[in-house]
Amino acid sequence: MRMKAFALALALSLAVAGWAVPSVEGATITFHTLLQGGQPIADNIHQLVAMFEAQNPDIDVDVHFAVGTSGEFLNRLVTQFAARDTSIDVIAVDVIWPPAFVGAGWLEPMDNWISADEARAFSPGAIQAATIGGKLYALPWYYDAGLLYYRKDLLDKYGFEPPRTWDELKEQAKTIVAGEGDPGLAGFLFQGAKIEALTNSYLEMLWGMGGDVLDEDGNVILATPEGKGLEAMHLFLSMVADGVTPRSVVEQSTDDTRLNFQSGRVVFLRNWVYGWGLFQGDDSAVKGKVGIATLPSTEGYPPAATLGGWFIGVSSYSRNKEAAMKFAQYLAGFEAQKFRAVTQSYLPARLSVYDDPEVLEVNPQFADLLPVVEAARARPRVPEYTQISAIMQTYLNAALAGQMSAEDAVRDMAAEIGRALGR
Amino acid sequence: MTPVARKAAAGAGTAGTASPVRRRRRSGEGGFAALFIAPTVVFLGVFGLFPLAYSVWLSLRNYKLTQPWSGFPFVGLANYARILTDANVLHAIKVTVIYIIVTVALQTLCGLIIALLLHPPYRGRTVARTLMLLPWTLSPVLAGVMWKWMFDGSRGLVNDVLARVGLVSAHDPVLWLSHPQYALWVVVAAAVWGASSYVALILLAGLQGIPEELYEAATIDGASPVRSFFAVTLPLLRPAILVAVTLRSLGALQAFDLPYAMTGGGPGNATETLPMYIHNYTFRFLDFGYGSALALVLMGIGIVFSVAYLKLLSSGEVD
Repeated sequence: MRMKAFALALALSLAVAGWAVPSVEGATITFHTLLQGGQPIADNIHQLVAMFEAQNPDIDVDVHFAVGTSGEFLNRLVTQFAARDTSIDVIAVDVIWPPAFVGAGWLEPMDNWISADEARAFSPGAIQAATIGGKLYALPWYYDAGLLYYRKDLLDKYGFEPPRTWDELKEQAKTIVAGEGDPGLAGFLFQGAKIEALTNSYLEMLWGMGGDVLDEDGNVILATPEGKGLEAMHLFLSMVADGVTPRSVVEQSTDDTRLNFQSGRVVFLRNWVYGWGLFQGDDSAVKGKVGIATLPSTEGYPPAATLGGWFIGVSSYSRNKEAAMKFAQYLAGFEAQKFRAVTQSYLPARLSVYDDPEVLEVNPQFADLLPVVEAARARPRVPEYTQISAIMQTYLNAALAGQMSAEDAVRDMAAEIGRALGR
Repeated sequence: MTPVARKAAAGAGTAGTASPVRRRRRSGEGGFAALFIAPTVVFLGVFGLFPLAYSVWLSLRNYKLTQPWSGFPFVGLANYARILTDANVLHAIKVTVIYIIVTVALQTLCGLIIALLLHPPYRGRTVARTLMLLPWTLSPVLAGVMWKWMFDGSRGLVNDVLARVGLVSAHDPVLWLSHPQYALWVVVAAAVWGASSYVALILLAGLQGIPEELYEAATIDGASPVRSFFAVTLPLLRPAILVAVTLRSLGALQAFDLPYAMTGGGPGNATETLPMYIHNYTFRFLDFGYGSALALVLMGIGIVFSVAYLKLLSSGEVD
């Protein structure tokens, strides 16, 4: 109750604050985005904003960073949107949010500003992810996908090629860790904390053996033999059981695993594209020693990566939509996407950036990465996705912590997903 | 409400403003008084009654923000019926009840010990009293993050110390906050650390209200210090203890910030309290109808606690 009253008080005070600001076009707009990767990324975004402000002297952009996980950022945005907070103008939108956000009426449709021709400058998959009911609601900012980072120096030393199957990964990791004789060196890290990337780490193993959560008609097949949920759960838990992954993975979130790999304590890492630029930084212990590959799969099945990525959306409660849209278009534009590709190796969502010689010189890995990302699989596009993922996070984390058996976890997970979808 | 209970309530909050107004109702003064109580009434109406009524209204609807096309239809008591069949709610209630009982018991015990240590006069007592309050002044989220870091499996201070004295292996540490059993007790420990000083503050005030003559009389009667503690201190401290227990119970009932910052409810849902569950449904899954129904259940539990407290307190004063 107190929380509700507080939310209302917050909403009122924000509304009062909102009235005080003159809604003149070209005043200050706010940009809310997740910050993963710390100060280097924050500096990078501030530079980007400075470039925009130099070209648009009548618009000031106030950047608000959300530090933490994508899920924590989502919690904050939802609270603010539910209170119809007008102080949000431009937001970074995770690829999984549009169905729920558009359903709730929080994103401004962009069709009045963006023509179909302009939309063709982006990859069709990205445009499709932000198009709901025939309308475009967000502009693609950068691409992302689950990837396998590996220690090139260590694999070379032991004469290994990047692993193609999970069994190969386990064997290589065991050999290298045993050979190095360093008890602080871990074989493989994925994200085991109760966050979105935990769901993704599991989905990639599930998809990589031909299984899935829902069938084409939206029925929950996870716990059935063709859904392969239990098989994937056994593979998932075997990483820890076989000693390839340390037990502490159960409390590691995305940036924890990135930091551990960056300090040279991990052979293989499942993470997103953002790690690459940071691994090549001057303070990185693995600078020049890192390779990228597609994630392994189960023998006989093609590998599967989770499609990730961020979009730029404009809040439908914004009082400065004209200015907000200008900034959104700038971030999705060639100059901004090239800047981020050159400085941080983020994968541009605008296709023409991949033809730029300067971009390719800094990022020879882009040639290998684009096909991985284009082939990446989208997570279920239902408004209840956040809830499905939260359910999966809870049971995966519980199984990983030894709180429940693999069988119980898969059975209860499937049953609860079914209830969440009303089936 | 018994007269005594009303007196108690008057001492505790704003409800007491009503009686002086009624006594002095003469020409003109009523309007003047209304002017003075208007801010309170408006404040309670806007921030108390309206959100409450709105929650009740929401709880009777299928109000999923992700399905605006549904028109948020009236569904009667369906959300409440759903609570009864939701195994996770029962689990969250169980965690919450264990959390309340254990934290409040330990906070009261620790608070009493601290209060007794800080009561007798000695050099540096004022400094000690001020320092005692530090944990309580810290925001629970900050305290939670601090404890999370201390008990972090791979980099935490606790495991580091334990590894140095050889109690755990540095490469196979105890994962305190991801352990199905330990996690809740670490959160409980943090809660006890955080709020014991608040209990001590209340009990210290209670101790200062006990007349010195009673102890002198007890000494003359030949009572040992232990005897006079059980015969004089504890009975006279009873109202203060009850106040502390109730306030802490209501605080523990709303446990959200500390477990959220420390475990996020994990591992799995081992440390998920009812307020966290409500938060998940309302603000993560955007199911405002079910979230509101759950919130009203939580409020019901709170009312039960408050009424029990008022009963206990009034029976104590009548004795």
